[in-house]
Amino acid sequence: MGLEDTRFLVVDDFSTMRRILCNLLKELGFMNVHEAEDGADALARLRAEKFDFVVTDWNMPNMSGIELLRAIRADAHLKHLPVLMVTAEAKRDNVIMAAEAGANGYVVKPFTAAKLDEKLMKIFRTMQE
Amino acid sequence: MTANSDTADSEELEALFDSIVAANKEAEKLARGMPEVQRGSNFSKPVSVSPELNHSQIRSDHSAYNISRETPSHNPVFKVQSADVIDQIGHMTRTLHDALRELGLNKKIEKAASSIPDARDRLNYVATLTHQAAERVLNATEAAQPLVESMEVEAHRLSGKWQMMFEKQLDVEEFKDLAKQTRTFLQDVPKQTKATHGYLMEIMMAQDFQDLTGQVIKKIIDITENLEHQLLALLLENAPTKVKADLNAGLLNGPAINPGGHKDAVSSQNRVDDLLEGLGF
Repeated sequence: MGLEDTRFLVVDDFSTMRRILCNLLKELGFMNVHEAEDGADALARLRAEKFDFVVTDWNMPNMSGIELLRAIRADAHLKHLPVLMVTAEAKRDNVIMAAEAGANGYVVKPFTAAKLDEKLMKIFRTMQE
Repeated sequence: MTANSDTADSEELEALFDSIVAANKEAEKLARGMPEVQRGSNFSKPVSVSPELNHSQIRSDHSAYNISRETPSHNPVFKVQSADVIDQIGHMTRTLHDALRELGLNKKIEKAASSIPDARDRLNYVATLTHQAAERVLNATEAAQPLVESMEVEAHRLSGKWQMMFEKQLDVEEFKDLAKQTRTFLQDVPKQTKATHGYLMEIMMAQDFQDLTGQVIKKIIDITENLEHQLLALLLENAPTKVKADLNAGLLNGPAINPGGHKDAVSSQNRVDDLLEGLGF
């Protein structure tokens, strides 16, 4: 499977941010991009369908990004799924919490297309190691 | 938001993230063979919330001193004394009640007042972000416009020449020239569209303010609702007893005002109006 076939799930409660992320991912060559509006919605979709990569916000109603990340890591079928956090949470404690919970990358909003690309490529490289 | 000392530069935070992941990997390598490594949790402190409010300046006019002056300590009859004791306890209770109420009111006033600078900072942040976004969009649009226009003008010009060519109005030299110019134009178009595409992406990325300001605005709505609540509570506590009784009997029964739900916000708005009206405002 080529990188361009990677099936993405973009999780954010703001539709504008979801559209921006989806457009950026398509711009970077990833055409298989899907959306979920919060952690609970995402988890249900992840359990029902096969995804290769999760890009998630932190602050969301129903289930936050960090809760989603913990649920993914605690799920036998999902625990190896790469998770990139894209969030406005810029506190040290949040970053540490995400790293401890097993996030594969952390991008602070607002971010650039180049930054997103760099983090994605880094995760793909680490996965291939 | 910007004034938070806990908020570091994003590059620095991302570097911090990478270093933790790297350290955890090392730990995993060391503990190889065990399926789940229990990682040290000394990092995961809870996120600190707003600083503690200072309640030290609480006024207390109702000190316990004025009770003693009403205590008839010279009374020889025990029964009367016991009535006095009850009276005294009554006064003490009243004093304590007033003091506690005052304490509560002051806390509420302080809490309400302290949320205002926070809301102001957040609104400033929203103003800054929306301003920046508007600038970015206008800059990108103004930069893209001449590119699109020049392509349009050149396409029109060349198309006019080709029309002349088909009407056999061009000689050989002119035709050769036209072919050259057309070739140059066609080579140029992808460069121009690529640049335009870049500006379109810039316009798209500028919309990221909506997510950030949206979160901030939600917080400000919470703050204002809280403020309204606390001010109402203050008014209610200081209302005449009769008004208070009426209000308690009618308006304030039922669920607490829900800051989230829109339906409830409307009915709570009516309740607030009724409440203010009942209090004579």
